[in-house]
Amino acid sequence: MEEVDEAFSSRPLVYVEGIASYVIEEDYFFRELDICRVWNLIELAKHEGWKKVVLSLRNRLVTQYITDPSRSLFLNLVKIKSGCKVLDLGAGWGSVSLQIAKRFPDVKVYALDKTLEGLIFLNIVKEQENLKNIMVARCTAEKIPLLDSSIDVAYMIGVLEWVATNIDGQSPRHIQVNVLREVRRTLNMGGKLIIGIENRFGYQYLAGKPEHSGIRYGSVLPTKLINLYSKRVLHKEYRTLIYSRDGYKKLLLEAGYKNIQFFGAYPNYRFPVMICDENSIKHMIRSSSKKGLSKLLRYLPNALVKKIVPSYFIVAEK
Amino acid sequence: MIEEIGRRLIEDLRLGNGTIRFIIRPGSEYGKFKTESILTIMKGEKSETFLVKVGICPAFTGELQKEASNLLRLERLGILRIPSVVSSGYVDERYYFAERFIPASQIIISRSSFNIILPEVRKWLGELYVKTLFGHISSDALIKKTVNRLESISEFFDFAQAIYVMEATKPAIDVPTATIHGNLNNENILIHGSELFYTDFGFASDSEPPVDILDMIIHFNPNLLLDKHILNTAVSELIPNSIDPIFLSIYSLIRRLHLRIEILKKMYDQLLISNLETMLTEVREAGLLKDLLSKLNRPRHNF
Repeated sequence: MEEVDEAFSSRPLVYVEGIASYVIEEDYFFRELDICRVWNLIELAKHEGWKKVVLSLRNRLVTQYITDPSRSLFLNLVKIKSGCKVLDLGAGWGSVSLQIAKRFPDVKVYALDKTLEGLIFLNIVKEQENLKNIMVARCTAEKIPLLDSSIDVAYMIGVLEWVATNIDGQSPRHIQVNVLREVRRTLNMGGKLIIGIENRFGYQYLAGKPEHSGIRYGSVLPTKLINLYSKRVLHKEYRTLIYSRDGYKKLLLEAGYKNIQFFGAYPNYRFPVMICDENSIKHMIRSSSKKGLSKLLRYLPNALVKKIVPSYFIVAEK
Repeated sequence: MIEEIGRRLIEDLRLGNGTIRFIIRPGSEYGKFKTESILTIMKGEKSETFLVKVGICPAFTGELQKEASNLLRLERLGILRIPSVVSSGYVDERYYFAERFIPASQIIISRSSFNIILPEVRKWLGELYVKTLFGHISSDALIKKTVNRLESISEFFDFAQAIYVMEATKPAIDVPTATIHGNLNNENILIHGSELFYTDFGFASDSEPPVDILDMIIHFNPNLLLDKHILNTAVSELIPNSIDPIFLSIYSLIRRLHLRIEILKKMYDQLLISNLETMLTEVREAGLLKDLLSKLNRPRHNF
């Protein structure tokens, strides 16, 4: 029987492909590649080495996800002290976990996700890169198998908006608050949660870019209205809720967090070219883009610009 | 973390109760091992702005320390119009240093901009070399250094021909050495009003031949290297007449190529970047060297 890391609260239900699993049901969740391609990638990575396979991918987005160090620019927002424990909830391809584990060998990273395939890939990279400081486990965001107060820094990068998608019955907002409470439970007193997420009123959405469920102006219009539309047209509930700055603040306060700070991310939180404090958002956008809608922003006051920034990084404290 | 650096700056520079504002940016293509943040400390109507460079992990401490110490040493020697390092240290075992922000723009490459800035740059380099004059080095020693550098990158590039050219153009006299900027191009020369400023001293080194003016020329217009008349005028007073600029240009290109590949290899080992091969094909110095060697290979150039 494999040894379970001290921060885990229990033994896994089962090991699947070497991954400690605390859930049994299937939940495939990658939008970038279909499941057949992912399994193909996994097999090739096992035999030919992950770097070679990732390099040869036609889908450059996946390559960039996994290997672009700029993607983890947000690691400059909070301290990652030697010996600390980091939770990467919704680890996906493992880009955040791998970058932290590789750069900071004295830090322990807990990479958790519900999708098995991503964790298998992450495990292959972990073994091939000889990264002993990553613990990989499969679980849901609502029930994290870590002890209370065992984590110093938690990351949820591009995760919060998706947590309610495959759960029926409860309101998406209720599920999001519960997930945030669950993460808070695992944090030490003073521990930090970092969220990377879109702004509901981001100028990309105001200009008509479809949001997560594929509906134009979906995030901008009232949720009840867009839910009705989604049920009628897409035959499913609208469950990928994102919020405004004030909306996130309320959500986090309700989940028990304090000292909530917002940072602007440009052009988005997934591949940020710049991150800044709230008061520098206008300056950031002005200095980075010379065309299109963002050019117009230079004529607006910072108080307004910071409300329509495309994405946020949010730092909240337990 | 960046706010912590801001707080230290406030303390180090005794700026009182300032408000910290910042924009974090990743380093450029070769510099992705660091972030370069613009950090402003606001105090009422007044503000002070700094450029803060932080290694993205402890493994890149050496590269940043070298840049900071180069700047500090040059400042002590009275070299003007370079960034002034005001604070340095570690946050989470990651090294950082902060320099006063120079509110200037990059030079745009054009024939007229080149002709305008050339005398200014030459003057600045003249002062740098006079103040940091080290000694002399034989041309054979420079060739030996180049051979060693080429050997260490031989798995990626084969520039054996460069050594033949260096042998054919080597000067009979020893070459003077001083501290060089080591990577002088339009991206590292900033203009503010009529004043030029020089940044990015990561490749600076002492006891090197005075190659900076050639580096700048080759970035602006590599064809100028083959025009003896223009070249001799451009490099006069910086490089003795009896030293062939081609010899020094090749030495410098291989030096920088070697430094860049060392950094790329380290980034490949220390980070998870997967595209080392692609990045290597885009190393500017490799293209410039290849181009120069092919031009020199044409029949009219006899050594």
